[in-house]
Amino acid sequence: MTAIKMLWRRVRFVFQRGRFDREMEEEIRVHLEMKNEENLAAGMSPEEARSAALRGFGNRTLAREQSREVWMFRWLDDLVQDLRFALRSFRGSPGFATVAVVTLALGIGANTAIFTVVNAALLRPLPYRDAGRLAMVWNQLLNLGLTRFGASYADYFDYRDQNQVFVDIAAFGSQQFDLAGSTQPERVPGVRVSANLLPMLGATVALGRTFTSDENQDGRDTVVLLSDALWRRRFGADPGLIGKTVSLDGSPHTVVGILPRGFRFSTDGSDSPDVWVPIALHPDPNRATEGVLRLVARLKPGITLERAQAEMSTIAARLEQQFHLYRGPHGEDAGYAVEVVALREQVFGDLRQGLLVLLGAVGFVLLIACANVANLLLARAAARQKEMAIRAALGAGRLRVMRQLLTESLMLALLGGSAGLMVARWGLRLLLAVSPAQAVRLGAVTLDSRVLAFTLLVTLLTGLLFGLAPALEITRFNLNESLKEGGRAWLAGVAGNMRRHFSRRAALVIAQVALSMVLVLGAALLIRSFVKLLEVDPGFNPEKLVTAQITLPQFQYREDYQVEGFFEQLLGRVRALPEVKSVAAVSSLPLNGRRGGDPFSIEGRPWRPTAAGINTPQFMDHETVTADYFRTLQIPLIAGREFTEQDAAGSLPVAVINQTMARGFWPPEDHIDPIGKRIMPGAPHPGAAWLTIVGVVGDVKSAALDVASIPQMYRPLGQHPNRTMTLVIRTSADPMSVIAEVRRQLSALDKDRPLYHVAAMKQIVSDSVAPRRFDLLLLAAFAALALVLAAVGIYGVMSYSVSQRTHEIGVRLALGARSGDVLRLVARQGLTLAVIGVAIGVAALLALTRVVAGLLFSVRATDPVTFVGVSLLLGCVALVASFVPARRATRVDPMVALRDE
Amino acid sequence: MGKRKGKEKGELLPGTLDMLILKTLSHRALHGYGIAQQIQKTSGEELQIEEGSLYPALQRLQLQGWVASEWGQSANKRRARYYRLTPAGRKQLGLEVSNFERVLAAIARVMRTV
Repeated sequence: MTAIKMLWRRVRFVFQRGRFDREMEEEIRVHLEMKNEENLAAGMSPEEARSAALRGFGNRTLAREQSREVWMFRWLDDLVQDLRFALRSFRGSPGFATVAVVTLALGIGANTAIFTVVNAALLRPLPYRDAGRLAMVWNQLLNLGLTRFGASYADYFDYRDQNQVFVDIAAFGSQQFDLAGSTQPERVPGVRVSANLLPMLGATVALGRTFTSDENQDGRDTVVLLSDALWRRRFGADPGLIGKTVSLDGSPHTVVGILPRGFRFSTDGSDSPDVWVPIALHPDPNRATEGVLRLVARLKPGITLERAQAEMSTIAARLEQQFHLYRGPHGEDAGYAVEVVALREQVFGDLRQGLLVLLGAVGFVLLIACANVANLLLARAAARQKEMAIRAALGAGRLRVMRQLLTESLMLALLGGSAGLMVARWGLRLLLAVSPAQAVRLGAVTLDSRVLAFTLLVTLLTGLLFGLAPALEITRFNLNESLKEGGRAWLAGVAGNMRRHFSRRAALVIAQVALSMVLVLGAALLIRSFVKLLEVDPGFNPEKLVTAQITLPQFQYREDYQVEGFFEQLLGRVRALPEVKSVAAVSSLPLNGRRGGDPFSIEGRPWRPTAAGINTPQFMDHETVTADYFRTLQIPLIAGREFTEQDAAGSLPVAVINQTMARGFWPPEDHIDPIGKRIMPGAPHPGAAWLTIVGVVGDVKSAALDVASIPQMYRPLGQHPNRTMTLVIRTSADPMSVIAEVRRQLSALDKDRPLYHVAAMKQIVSDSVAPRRFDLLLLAAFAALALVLAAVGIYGVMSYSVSQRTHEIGVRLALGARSGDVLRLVARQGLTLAVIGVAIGVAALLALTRVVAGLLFSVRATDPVTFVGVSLLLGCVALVASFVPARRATRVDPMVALRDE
Repeated sequence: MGKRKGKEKGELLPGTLDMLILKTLSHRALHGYGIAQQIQKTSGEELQIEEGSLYPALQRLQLQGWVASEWGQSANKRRARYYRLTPAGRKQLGLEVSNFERVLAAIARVMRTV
């Protein structure tokens, strides 16, 4: 109780300190006056009375100090005093304080911004109930190189019913829907789900209800849940929508509920679904639905991911034995296995490496910033030798002086950190503006408490890091001695100290140059990769090409001839538009990101043995196109012919293959012409028609610019209709301008069909490299920042060195050295530091090769051109940074410099 | 500051100043100078205290809550700070006096025996 009261009195004192001091002063004065009067009354002379009073009282300052000290938290008071002093000293040198704070703000701000993204992607739990226990269950066929593909209905039932490790397994499959109604039809992202998915995620509805398990049956599955966003955008947030029907792919579905605002679900970076529909699950003994379902599972309490993986592997092995799952036609083992992946890993796994590299890069930037501030502090330290000596002489211990200096550093760091938070907020907005959409999966990237804690920690560590060395440095000097020994010795001591200073600051500069070398090298390698990527020929001409997708629902377009007829009519109408030069349709566009392939067979050949000695099928990408596709995209015809209108349903089944496929399976050295040879999708089976190869066309980049072309086969729409087709329209004017007219033509044919994924081909090409561009932009920005900071560091050290050598330079000039000699002298010093730094940086990057290589494209991590170029760049920067101080050195007036002594 | 000359005036035993102040204040409230005067007078000019040291002691006692202070008018119309004993201070005085007497008696016993 007393302790608390005492604490309270002390705290009150902190706020009444000024008043306390005034009152103490007055009290002592009154005391002395009273004594004085008494002494006078006792008959002393005025002088005697006064001095007797003073003598009797003793040391007044001490009395005041000690009285005050009774009340103080010693450390708190020291701290306040240190802070006041620090502020005063910053005000005294605003230039220093501003440069330091801005430097730190940039460093800490960049780190905070990147950490915020890292936090959102790699640290914060996914926005589902107990999300750490959610996992995905994937099929894989290891011998075919197929990983993470979907399960069949039968697989789902088997996994769900046989495992002991999951509370439950839910299934879903992404699907897009045509949403029609009173207004313009549109294509919306959707998902078909098992009824237990939403409860497993811990999601509820904002309105209505979720699905019941009997809605996972044929005929009961015409119900739908809408996302909040779609409900607001398209239905004006009408609560009366529950129970009404909406048209999905031409079939009526009853709206049973609205999902909560902000609820998102995406496992592969695609758009979060706007419509949720139950899957009609049915027994599937032949596993014909292979690849359709994605499975999410919740681990039972206490079960680890490894344990679950082991269990699922056992189940997969048992199923393989029992049903000969995923065997080739001659019993070949495809390497069927099941993989269990944590949901977070599934969603963000591909971002980790890039993010960690970026985090490392900003860490480097901060280290460089620290080195700069430490440099500034060391320069200040030299100037403050005398102040420190006086403080020491007045009785401040080394620890006390160090504390004072560290308080200054921490205060700088905190100022920098606060400004850094603002930089981070601003930088984050910029970051998200330029980031590819998928970097911000599943939720907001925000400055939460964890980010703030990170920033605080980084700030304090930064303050210690850049403050400790200078603090040790200054206080090491034996201040008392130097004062006592008189001016000369003191100066000598300072001079010695300054030499040490220089070497220490030189070491800092070398470190800075080395760190920026690593960053600039990394950025340069990325830039070279990116340039090479942009130089990659996609295999077609993207200029003045616009694309748009259409899907015909099975519900209305049951027969193949209906599908073919619809697209023929549409293409005919579009072709007639004035600005259209040519038009065609394809089942999927190039650069679509898909890397898989379909197996196929070649007439007269067994399925090709692989290195592993297992018979596996050949793989190819398989597209349906209309007759003018190659001409419209300007894909060159290498041999044979293109498709014509005559390649229709009843005529000879034909195919056109790409060059990679032709070379891969009919190598030129064999002198066998692939034209006229016959192939078949899938395993050869009797009854299915062989396709005759009639032409060979140039390769296009079907997956992405940085993925090698794979074998590709094209089939004509008339012989292999596809319900989803993408129109490709080559125009004579601005490609986007024709779209409105295309919509009108489509609407005339079927008013419920939306035209979606409308994009200029150039945009598609540009979007396909967006993630790389993002990494590149950030790394380049960090590298530029690092370069500027390093230049400032070199400049600072060289200026300092010149100012220290004024006398020497004066002597040289007086003895007839020309200004060119002096310039060389100083520049050489700067350049030497830079060269050492560059060498260390090169060595460091070589050690990091493995990390960097993953981010590069067709540039080796040890690319000599880049290494030499960047080394030269840093050398130039160092030269320029030392040139300014060097110029100043040449203007030294020998007379002034010599008189200085 | 230099050393004090001789020991003709009694120096305080360490730690007794607080007790003396408490005791002095037990009759009535006094200002700092008054306390110094009072101690000197009642000790028959035997105890010489450095007046300056009174003030830190008074702060200690206030911090402990044994003494309270307020500004008032002195006999010759001066504004001065008056210190008075709080109830807790009175209790503390009793404690210190009995403690002091015990120690004194013990010292006296030792001095007689040896």
